[in-house]
Amino acid sequence: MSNRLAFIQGAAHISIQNPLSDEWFDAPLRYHQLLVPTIDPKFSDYLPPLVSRRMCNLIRRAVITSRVALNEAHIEVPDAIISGTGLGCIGNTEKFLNAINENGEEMLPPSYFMQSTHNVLSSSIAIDLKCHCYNNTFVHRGTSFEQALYDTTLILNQESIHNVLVGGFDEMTSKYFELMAKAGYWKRVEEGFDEEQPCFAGEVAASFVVSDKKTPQTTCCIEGIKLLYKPSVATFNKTINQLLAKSEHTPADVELLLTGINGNVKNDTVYRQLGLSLFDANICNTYKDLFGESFTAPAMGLYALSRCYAKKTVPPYWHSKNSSFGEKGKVSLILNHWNGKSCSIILLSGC
Amino acid sequence: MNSGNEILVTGSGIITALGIGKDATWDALVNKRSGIAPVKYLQSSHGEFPVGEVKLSNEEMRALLHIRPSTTTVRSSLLGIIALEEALEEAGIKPSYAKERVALISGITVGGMDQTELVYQKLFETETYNDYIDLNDCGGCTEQIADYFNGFSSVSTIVTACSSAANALIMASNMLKTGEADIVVAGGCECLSIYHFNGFHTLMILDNELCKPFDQHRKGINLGEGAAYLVLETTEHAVKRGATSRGKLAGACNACDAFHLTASSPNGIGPYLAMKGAIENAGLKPSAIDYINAHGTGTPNNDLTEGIACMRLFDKVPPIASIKAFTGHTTSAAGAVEGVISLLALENNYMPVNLNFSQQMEELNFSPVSNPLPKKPLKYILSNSFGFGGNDSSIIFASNK
Amino acid sequence: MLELKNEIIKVLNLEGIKPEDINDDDEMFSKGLGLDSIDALELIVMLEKNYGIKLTDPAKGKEIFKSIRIMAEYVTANRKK
Repeated sequence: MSNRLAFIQGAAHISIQNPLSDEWFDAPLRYHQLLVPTIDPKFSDYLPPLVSRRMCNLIRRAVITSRVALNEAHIEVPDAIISGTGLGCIGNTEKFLNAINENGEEMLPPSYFMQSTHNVLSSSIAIDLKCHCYNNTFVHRGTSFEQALYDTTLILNQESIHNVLVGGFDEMTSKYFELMAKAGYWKRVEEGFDEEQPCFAGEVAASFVVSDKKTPQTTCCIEGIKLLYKPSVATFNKTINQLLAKSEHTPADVELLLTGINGNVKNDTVYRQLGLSLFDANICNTYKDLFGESFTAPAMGLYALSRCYAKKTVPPYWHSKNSSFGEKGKVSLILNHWNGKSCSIILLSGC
Repeated sequence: MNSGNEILVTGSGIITALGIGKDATWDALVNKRSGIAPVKYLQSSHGEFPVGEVKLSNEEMRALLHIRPSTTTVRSSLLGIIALEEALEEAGIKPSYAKERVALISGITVGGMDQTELVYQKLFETETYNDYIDLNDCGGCTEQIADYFNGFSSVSTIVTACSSAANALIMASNMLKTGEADIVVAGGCECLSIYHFNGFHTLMILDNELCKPFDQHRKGINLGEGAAYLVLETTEHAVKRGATSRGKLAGACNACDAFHLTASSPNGIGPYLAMKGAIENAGLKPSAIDYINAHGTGTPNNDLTEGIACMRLFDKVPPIASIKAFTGHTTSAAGAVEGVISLLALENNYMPVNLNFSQQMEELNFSPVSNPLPKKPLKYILSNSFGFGGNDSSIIFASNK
Repeated sequence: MLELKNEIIKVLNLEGIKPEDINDDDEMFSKGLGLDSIDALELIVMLEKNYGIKLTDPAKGKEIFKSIRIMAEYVTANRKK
């Protein structure tokens, strides 16, 4: 992200916390179950039935959060639309696959297939906004959203691109939940929710408007973002220091750390090695206990932190170094990894 | 553009129905030998649709790559590894030994579905197939490719259907121009799967005969599979490490049709903006384009839209051809497969022809190149990749001269 | 035709539309319900599933789906179920 800073001007979410609101800040809903579905708004308040009839819920959430974020940013049509999703509309993928297994490759419903191509999210948003600009989709496991955000910062260097609509979207079905449990990402249904290892699956829809300059709507500044693959601990920490140095900060300026610690032992162990050694444990906070684990959960981490910058304070259950949050000269970090392989570092500051 | 900052291609690799590697590919193209044939490996009941299948089983590819039988693999990753190996070797790079930052960006859409669809029920009933779970999603496949080589500084996956690999190349160019990596390897891979074979079938866009791009009587696509990767770096970096340029990525643009999820707009606004943007990005005028490697899938819709967009952009449409009747439609890999072919065309000053053409489309004022044209120096080739959801990308490849 | 209208509403997920909202002779595609090419494909699948009528040419679908009346007449004449 060599040249330009990026500024968050608008954001919206529909997730397992009350949608399109910041009630999660003071009064988060707390869950003790393994799979938590989205709390959806009344879709017909935003989308006429004939428009939304073919959209699965994930597409509806993507379109609605995009509109709300743009509205907050006072932008009508963005210069680019980029999405990150780990599984796309997995519900539709399963329906088409089941139809093939049941009908033997005959009389298959085209709509399910059409919506199972992951870029259906970015495309549906573009069709809704009549936006002919740059359009991209990243599907890379737990860093899908960060890859979309990274691409955002790359293209903001181009003269014609000033406002990018970037989002993270994922849904979870009971079938796929079962598969990911078998792969060890969370407990299996028969094991039940474990208070000692409280990792649970959530769903995500979060949209942001990220711009190349500050406006009265700006909540925070993305000072830098890096993607890494299977970094050594030394490389990971070195990258954090490089990001800080590039934006003329030091580790002492980091007032808050947000990590993807989620209660799954294998996942959490990696965090304790990566990056945390540079900072005090008491400024390390988590967000997956609020929003659940999902391939694009980091979008909710960014959402939550951007709201902290807007309010200039952190929620009562988080801790930052200073009583006043987001003061000049201070920064925060969001650290993420998936399976210890694909990693991301996001550096933020207030405005 | 500052000549130290041009984007050079210093290596490339390819595998399609035409064979493994650039030599086999070029030999087939020049000798007008299509790779499309009846289905052999894919276990689909729709045997009436010819396909561009890579003529190797998964076992044969694993043997080529010395992958142990006990290692779980998916077909797209195997194709990707083979193509990537050729690219890295030509460029003289071993990422695991590289001191520089070597990033990987890969386009794919089916992920590991070719295996998931075969073992789906068993995934739930036993523990024996759990390895396939982490290989099912798109990022899982890219990671399998990356892990075969090790040493990539970052690994990203782009999924925009038929424009995925082209968008990977565009992102690579952006990373290099902003100094985010020293070398970026970009491209895509995609194998046939029952899932998307049937998906295309339900959209009624498959041709049960050899496809006829840009022909008045075209009926649809022959689905294909394959992989291709290009090694990209700036001139400055290539010179510093003594790498040889095979050609340049001179310009690119992505635009969105924003019309419909599977059909393209009647006026072709997306393709028009993508092509126009790429030409402008390269600092050129349309008249500089020597040849268009069309998306040209052979569907009534695409070829009409693409044709109309070309007529809108070019006073006189330059020689244009789709090679999809050679390779089949390689979907997520197409942008890179056809990028490699475009670079070969530039190197050899020869324009691959558009097979199976007999009658000009009534709406268009041009016909594709159906017979070999006399060799002439080629400088700029425009390559189109237009995906579902109206995701339209165009890339300009330039020769070294 | 009522049966057909109900099937169309179900298959195309036309939430909020009732059979009485669909006129027998109205154009279904460019105007009226404003259906698109994917809807046409879904209707082709429905014809095969419900009535055993197999269409292989999407262009034929365009003619048949011009209006409910035309579609109903085609189904009556060609149904195998």
